[in-house]
Amino acid sequence: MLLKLDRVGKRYPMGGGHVDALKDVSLEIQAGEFLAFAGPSGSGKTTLLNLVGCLDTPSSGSIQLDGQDLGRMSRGQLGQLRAARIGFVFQSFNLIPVLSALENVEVALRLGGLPADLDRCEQALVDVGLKEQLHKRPNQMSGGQQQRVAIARALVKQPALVIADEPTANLDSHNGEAVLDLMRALNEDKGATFLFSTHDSIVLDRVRRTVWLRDGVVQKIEP
Amino acid sequence: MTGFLVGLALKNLFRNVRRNLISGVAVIWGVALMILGYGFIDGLDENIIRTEIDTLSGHVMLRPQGYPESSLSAPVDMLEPLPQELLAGLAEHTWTQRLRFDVRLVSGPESIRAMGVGFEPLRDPQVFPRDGYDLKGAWPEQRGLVVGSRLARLLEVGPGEVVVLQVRTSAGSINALSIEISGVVTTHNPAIDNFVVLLPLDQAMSLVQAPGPSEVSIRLPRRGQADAVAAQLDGAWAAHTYMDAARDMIALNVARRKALGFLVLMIMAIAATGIANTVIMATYERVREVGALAAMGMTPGQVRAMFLLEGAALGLIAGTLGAALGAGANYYFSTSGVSLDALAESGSAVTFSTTLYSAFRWGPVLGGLAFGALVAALASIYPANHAANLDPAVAVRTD
Ligand SMILES: Nc1ncnc2c1ncn2[C@@H]1O[C@H](COP(=O)(O)OP(=O)(O)OP(=O)(O)O)[C@@H](O)[C@H]1O
Ligand SMILES: [Mg+2]
Repeated sequence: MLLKLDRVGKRYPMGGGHVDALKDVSLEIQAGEFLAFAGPSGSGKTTLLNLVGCLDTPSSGSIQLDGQDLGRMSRGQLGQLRAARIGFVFQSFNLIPVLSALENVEVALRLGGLPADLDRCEQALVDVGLKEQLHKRPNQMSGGQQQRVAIARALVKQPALVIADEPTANLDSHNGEAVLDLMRALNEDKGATFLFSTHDSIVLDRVRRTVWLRDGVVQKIEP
Repeated sequence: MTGFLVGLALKNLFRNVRRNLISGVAVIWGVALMILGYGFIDGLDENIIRTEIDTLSGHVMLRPQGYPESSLSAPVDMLEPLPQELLAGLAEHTWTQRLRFDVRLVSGPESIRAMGVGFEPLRDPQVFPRDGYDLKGAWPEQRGLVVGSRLARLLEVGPGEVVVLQVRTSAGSINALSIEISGVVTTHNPAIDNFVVLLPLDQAMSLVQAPGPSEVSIRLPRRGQADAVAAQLDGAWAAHTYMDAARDMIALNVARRKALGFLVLMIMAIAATGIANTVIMATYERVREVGALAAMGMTPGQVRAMFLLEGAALGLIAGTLGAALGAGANYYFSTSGVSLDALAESGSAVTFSTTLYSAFRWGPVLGGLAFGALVAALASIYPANHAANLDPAVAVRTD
């Protein structure tokens, strides 16, 4: 089992009081899954993704990644864990504008403490269909191409887990479908685990499992 | 990783060249002003010292014991012939003697107070070189008067005309001498050009009935020898070095340096504010990017280093531009000089040359450059910390 969430709660301070973004979420996720968290706005999708992505820690309950309890880790340890084992694909791509596609991918290797192997970076870009765009900067590429660079960047270190929060929200439907098909193919070929948060039917149509959230509570899991 | 961070910081620096240049302008000006300003003050030091040596004091000056230090009055009632003991000590040096006396210069209905200087026609130029002088007429060999150019202008006299010198003799009586002007000199030292008339020593001594000169000046091969020679000769007459004469003027430059230092600090404070502001704007613009890097495992220390490097590099580049500008201007003024004639026209009795050359030294150039970079790096500390404390989750947030 890759991830095990046990009665996870997340409470944010809000005004004078607080808001429970997640309440008693228990969930198990296997390696190799292609899974989406879905639900209306404010239901806790991003909060949940941030917790399993080691960007944040739960207020209650426990999360285990490969048997390690994330709640016991310091900020620094979580950072190391993210660098080594977790890839991120962001809604707004978040590439470094002054670096080429290849260099953007290289950043992930360096931060992951891995040797800056250019062949490996190039292969990651070839895998996402950007053989011709290696030396282009983000502003010379379309949104779809930028998101592919982000996917290559997330996958180059062969992470245990790829976190993608609304990866299609800034793409038109054609590019959104292409990007999702690409991730699905990478999931099948390389066994990479993908966790999404989304409203988008493009994503929901392609994931193998969907966890429906409402007001911070798991409503149902399909299938 | 360090090389990577440096590379990224430098690339980020060129993202907004115009904005960075604008915020770097204060550093450029500050550094340039610092270099040029110190160049001029150092140049003024040298100017004062050199002029003092070359026109008034020589390297070492000897005067009768008890002769007033102030150059404003020149009593003749306390003079004596050169002591034998002193003459023996002078034998190995290049030296000359002068007699100063207070004089009233009369031409028709006009008269003006001046400083008379009796000089040895042959030996005086060996101690006080006349290379830079502009002379209308000629130096007298036995009899005749050379008048400082501004003095001549005020009295409206020139070579060939006759003036009357009125003096008080060593015995206290009044004496006068009708004398033809043989030359009008511009030494470019206002203390001479505005106030002094020169005539041969013998003539001067008989005019004021002085038993001896008021001073002996020595020219040495090197300035550095002045203290030792002065110490050696001090005895029957009191020995001073050129520094004793220049000291008061040099002391003014200490105050000038402080004022300049304060001005530079003010400019640098403005520069620091500008740079801090620029780096803060950069951190806000790049929130998502930095969040993404932090999400991918960049440590707060690395984020901080990245922005500090960017600020320091901005300071280094602006500092280099400022140093180049300051050094270039300073070099120009150290070879071409600036004219201070207008200053001399105000009737100044202060010794300096009216052409001021700045002093070019590498120390302030490198110091200014390093100072610029340091100020910029310090100014980046706060914004860099701000970026380092950024929550990686902001990169994910969609709003
Ligand atoms: N940092 C925070 N501080 C305070 N409240 C927060 C914070 N992050 C999220 N929340 C609150 O937690 C709840 C869940 O937010 P979350 O962002 O997880 O929702 P979401 O399902 O991702 O919504 P969306 O579809 O709009 O992205 C919301 O009520 C939100 O206002
Ligand atoms: Mg969300």
